[in-house]
Amino acid sequence: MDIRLLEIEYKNIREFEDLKIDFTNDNSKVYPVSLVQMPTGTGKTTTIQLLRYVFNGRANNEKFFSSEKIKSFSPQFDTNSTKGEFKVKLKIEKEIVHVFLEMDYNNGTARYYTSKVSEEGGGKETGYNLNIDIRSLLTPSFVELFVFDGEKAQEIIDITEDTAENAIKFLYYLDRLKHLHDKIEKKIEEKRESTSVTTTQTEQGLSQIKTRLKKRRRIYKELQQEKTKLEDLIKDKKFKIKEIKDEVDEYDEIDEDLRKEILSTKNDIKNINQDIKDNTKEILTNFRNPIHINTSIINRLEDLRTKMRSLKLPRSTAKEFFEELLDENIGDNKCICGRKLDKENKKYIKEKMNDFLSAQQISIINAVKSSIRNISDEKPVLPELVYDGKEMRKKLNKKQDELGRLRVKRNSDIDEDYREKKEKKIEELKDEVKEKKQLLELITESDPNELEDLRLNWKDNLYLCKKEIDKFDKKLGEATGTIDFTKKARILKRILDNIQTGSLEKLKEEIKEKTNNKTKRILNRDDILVEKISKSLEIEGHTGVSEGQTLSIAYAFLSSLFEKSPHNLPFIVDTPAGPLDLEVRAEVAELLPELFDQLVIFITSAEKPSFGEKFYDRKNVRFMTVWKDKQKNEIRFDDTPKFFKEFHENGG
Amino acid sequence: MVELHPIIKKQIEKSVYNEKQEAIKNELEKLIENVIELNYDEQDIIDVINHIQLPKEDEKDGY
Repeated sequence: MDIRLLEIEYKNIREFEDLKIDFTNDNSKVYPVSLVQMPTGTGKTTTIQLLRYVFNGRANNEKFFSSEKIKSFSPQFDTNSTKGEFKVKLKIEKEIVHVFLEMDYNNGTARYYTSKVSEEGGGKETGYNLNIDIRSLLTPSFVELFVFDGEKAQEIIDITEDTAENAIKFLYYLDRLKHLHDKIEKKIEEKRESTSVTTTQTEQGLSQIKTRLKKRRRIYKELQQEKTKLEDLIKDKKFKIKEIKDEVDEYDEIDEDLRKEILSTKNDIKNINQDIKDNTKEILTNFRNPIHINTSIINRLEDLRTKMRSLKLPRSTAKEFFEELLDENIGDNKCICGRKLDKENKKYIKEKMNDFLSAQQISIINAVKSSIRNISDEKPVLPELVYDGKEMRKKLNKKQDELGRLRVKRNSDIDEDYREKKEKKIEELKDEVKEKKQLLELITESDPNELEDLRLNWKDNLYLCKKEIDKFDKKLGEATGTIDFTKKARILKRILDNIQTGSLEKLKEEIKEKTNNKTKRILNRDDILVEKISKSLEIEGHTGVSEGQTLSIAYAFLSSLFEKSPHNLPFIVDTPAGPLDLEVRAEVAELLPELFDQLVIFITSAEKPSFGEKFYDRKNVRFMTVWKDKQKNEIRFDDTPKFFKEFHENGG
Repeated sequence: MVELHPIIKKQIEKSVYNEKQEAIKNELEKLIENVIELNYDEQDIIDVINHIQLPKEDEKDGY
């Protein structure tokens, strides 16, 4: 099966109002490598989560996509928006298929639509209508292998314990041999039912055998149901654990952004306060100089200067003034205050006239005169400084408001006990998983010594129950004369069992060898190897393996897994190089495009060194950048390599 | 049309050999291919069962 991812489109989802990301060139051919650069907080996690729901078809199942989770996808730019849509265009074999995931934010429900015609909008049907072949392949845990989170590689080794084995069974169709096995059993039943009773056994004896066999089969079926139920419960609880861990990761991401914003606002406030301090100092300095206060003072002083010049102040004018005042031939012999100047007054003025303009006073007036001589060249700077000061205060108030708002947001967003509560919940779930596993072990135990120690009987244990069935089955075969047919059918079942288990072991061995060869190449060392693929990967010296090494092993495993499988799937990976060392990054950047026909990488600018930059000169790479314009608070998109590189170089 | 992985093909060969049922190899391979493609007739299963050869001692001694 060949699946290609051609396009994704968001409408009214979290940060995205309307955005389309196309992975094809002008000839509608898929790029072998597409790099989508998305800084933290622009919806990388959202995209990966939605892609998984599109592939696994489980979004309309509350167990996998809770109403609370759906509501959390409502757009941030428009809180009144009631619906959002994530649309994916796929090419499955030669057919173009659109899968629409519609989310109702009011009810917290999700709904699928599928369109299988090349023209979108036409033939849009309700439901997740991919063919059964694809749906049976795309289970949630399998989808996680090709819509992969680089930061969660550990899960391949730890959490989803049956991931590795199940993936091999699914990919190489070994799971379908089980159907054939069941069909053969059904054929034996049918044969027996249709055979008339003509043997040595009496009708009553035969009836007894049938009843007993029937009872054992019923109990066996119930035990199998119980086993499936327990396995599902374990799976659900593990899924829930993973979901909580994702929530905590997302929470940390939001918290980190908020923290950065608060820090930046505080820094702005600090800078503005310093500016205000400097400005005040400058105002005080300039305030001492009247010509810096305003233009009218300059004008008045200029007027004074002109008058002083025309009156020839200080000395000459003062002398003339008093002389003219005492001259009987000039004026009306009155003082400028209107009083008559009699002899006594004149004598007094004559005696005191020199006191009014002493040498010191004259020098002061001269200094004033000199100071205002070039006054016309001066400009008042104080009004401008006062204006700047006012603007700074306005800016300060605005920033303080902003800080207040951010603090309120932080207090409402951040629940002090959040992490503790979540960790407690995870521990509870882990305990529940442990308990269910113990119950499961009782049902599935097949070691004779353990069975004896546990004192189990056939009603509690599948292995013992199967032995009982075989016993009565043999009796029934003898009684009904279907011995030969039953024996032949049993031989066929045995052959099928051998094919299934033998193929699984050989495939595991082959994948293990390939994984180890690639791991050696990536890590350039040969002491970290997959020792065994059981239900999950068993690593030699597991405890000493770093996060980056785990991720390298995961890539080596996944590529080996898909390499010879009959399915050709896109490999979509989020933050592929995050925890990798620089040398390992370069190897992974070389290796990944070789391993998958379509590689879609969601990358951050932090992954530039030795990874992102390795794709710059590669041919047939589509470079896209999705970023948030913080001023306009909207998501922007650019698909030019130039912008991608600049953005990458500048660290986002 | 699904092509069986060489490992599975080899395992079919080995399993029929171990059970001394080489005669049904091609028939079984075809049945498995059809089962994998989810495109098979139940009569095909009966046919393969009927073509299985019982070991001589089983035929003599009964079950």
